[in-house]
Amino acid sequence: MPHAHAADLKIDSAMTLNQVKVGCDVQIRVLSGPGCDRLRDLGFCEELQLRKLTSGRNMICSICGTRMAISQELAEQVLVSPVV
Amino acid sequence: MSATADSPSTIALIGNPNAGKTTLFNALTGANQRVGNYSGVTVEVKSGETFTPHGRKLRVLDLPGCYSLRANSPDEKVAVDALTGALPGEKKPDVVICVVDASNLERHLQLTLQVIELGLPCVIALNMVDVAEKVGLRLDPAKLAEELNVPVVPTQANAKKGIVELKQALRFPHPPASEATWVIDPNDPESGRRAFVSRLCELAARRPDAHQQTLSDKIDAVLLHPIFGWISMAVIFFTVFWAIFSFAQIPMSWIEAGQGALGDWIQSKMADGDLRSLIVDGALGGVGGVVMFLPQIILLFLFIGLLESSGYMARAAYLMDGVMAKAGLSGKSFLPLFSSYACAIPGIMATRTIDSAKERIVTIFVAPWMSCSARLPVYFLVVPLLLHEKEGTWKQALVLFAIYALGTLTAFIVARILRGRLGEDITPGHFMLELPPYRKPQWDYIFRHVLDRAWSFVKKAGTIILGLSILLWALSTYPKSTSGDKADELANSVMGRIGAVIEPVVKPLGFDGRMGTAILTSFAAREVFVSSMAILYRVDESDSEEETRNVLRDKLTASTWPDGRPIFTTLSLVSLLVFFIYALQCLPTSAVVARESGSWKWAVGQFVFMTGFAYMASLVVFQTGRLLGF
Amino acid sequence: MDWQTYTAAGIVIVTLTIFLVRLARPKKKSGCGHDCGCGKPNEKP
Repeated sequence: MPHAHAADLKIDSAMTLNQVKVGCDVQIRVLSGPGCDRLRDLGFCEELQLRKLTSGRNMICSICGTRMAISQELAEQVLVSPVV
Repeated sequence: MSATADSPSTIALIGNPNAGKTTLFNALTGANQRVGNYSGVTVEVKSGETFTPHGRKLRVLDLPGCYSLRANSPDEKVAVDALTGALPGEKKPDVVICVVDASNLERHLQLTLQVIELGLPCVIALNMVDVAEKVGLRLDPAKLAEELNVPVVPTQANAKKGIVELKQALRFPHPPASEATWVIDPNDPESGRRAFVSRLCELAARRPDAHQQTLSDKIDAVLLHPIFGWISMAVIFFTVFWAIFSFAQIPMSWIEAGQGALGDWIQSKMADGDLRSLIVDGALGGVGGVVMFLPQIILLFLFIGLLESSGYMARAAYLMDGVMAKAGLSGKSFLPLFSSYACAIPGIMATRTIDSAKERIVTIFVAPWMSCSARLPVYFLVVPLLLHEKEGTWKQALVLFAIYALGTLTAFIVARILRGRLGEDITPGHFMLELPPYRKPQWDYIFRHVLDRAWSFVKKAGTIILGLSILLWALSTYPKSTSGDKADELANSVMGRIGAVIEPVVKPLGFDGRMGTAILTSFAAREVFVSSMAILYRVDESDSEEETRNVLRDKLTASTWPDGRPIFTTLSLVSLLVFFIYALQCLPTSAVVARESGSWKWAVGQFVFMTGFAYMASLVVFQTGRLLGF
Repeated sequence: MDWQTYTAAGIVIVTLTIFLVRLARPKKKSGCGHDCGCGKPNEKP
């Protein structure tokens, strides 16, 4: 599966994880930022789907059946688009 | 380097936090290591032994959990070092068991692939298959094994299922190391791994529906709610305090009565003399005063074990992150600090999960101010005196809560100041935490752990505290005076003389010479304070023949200064409590601080600061109180 | 001086000796699990 390139990104439907409304299902498009290695280690990989459960200073999302809490700064580095 | 049929092989357990490595380790080795349902319980490498069905010995290492071999925090680094043979005194393991959560393969397999890439022979323990089944995952271990070319053994470590099959997979000769066929571009192994894992999960671990509302989710809707979450947490923690205090009352009174009865019996059977005094006042009084608190200790560790095992602790860490940030820390520090309420030593070691070095040292520095269980005997001696025991027990629980709150609050303030002075981190850390599903507490592990701690406590009482009590008795008896007056005897003894010297130093704090001496002795072990008090204040018994119970509190209430004023006023008791909240009186803690911080300077600085702070705080409390007319 | 006084003094001397011997011996085991009254020690490899 090819690595997602920024050029492939549909800008109008992309947003950061912070901007997602609670309860929405989204798909990860791109990870960009200093924390993306760590994010990938935790399981936040491109193409994976997740659901945002809570928001706030730290948000909780459900990814592959696991509940992960990450900080706002980290969430800012995850670009997602809604799952149709 | 490689194992032979005769020498034992070394097996390392690796996996994500919460994958069940330690449970599996316990099941394999029959050991009793602590299991908590959150990441960060295992921070050191633990080793144990087991045997294959053919009788060959295996050495098993339980490594700290890690998400990848990138080693972001000290405990992850330990795991990586163990795998690469960089751990001092340890070669590379002969086989690595990659423990993966079967309901989470998309995430857990990443680490497995990295381990295979290291060229180490692997066996996959596909753990928690029961959870995967419940979630509706369709697992195909055979396909997984075929694609990865390593043995895959389904297990359910907490029910000890799959253990025999796992040991079979570890038989000699060990399975060969597999090839990392997924690394297409050596400059970007990540995408190769990702693609492979994705394909693998499609084939061998089909997920039915993306997000199902589980029971854990429903519970979390309350416990992680912005408002109800906090209320629940306050209720939970306060209930724990109250329970520890009130449930323990009955067994405590039994122990106290037993001690009194034994003392009376010995007194009736022996003539008055040194040995009788040594046994009854020294040994029995000293040790009994401490053992009396065994019920509290048991309850404390029981509740902590329950909170850990159920998975609630991760939620508490999540909720507390915002609060911890005000102290310059993060939710990651919550766990080490909370553990310090039981004992600062494992708490300080648990700071290895904190990736920020500066946050870590600050956490270590303030950890002793989370009142540890050794202070409980002192608190439980003093608090009822303060409230004239006949008051309702909920009041005492409240005071206890206030004591803990005071220590915690001061710790946060100092942490913030210290963190500010240390400056920014080179690489900023970010908060990330896995919230595992709620699990039924593993009662057998909890009970065994609690019994362990209880036995250690009793052992300590029977050895160190007994010994110290005997020596204290000697110090307060020799040299003897010729007059028959008991007060004179005490004044003439070593302790009495020390007390006389100490008194001017501690009088501004509201203490007399005997209390000062008792405080000095408690630097050896906090619990010894109670023993010392029992010995030092025995001379105040005026009609000892008629006393049927040797109750320390009654004696203390009756004792007075030379001019007749009672020593133990509310104010002096509060001052005493304040001193114990803040003073650092534990040499083993200082030793661990020195080791974990890498230098003696931090340990010494901590001791000087905390003890000085304790003195000043007591001073301020007592003198201010006096000024206000208390 | 009766037997009680002698016995008591004897116990004290024995106890003191035990403590001094323990202090003088080089500390091989310290930290978690040994000195503090904690639970089972973590075994290091």
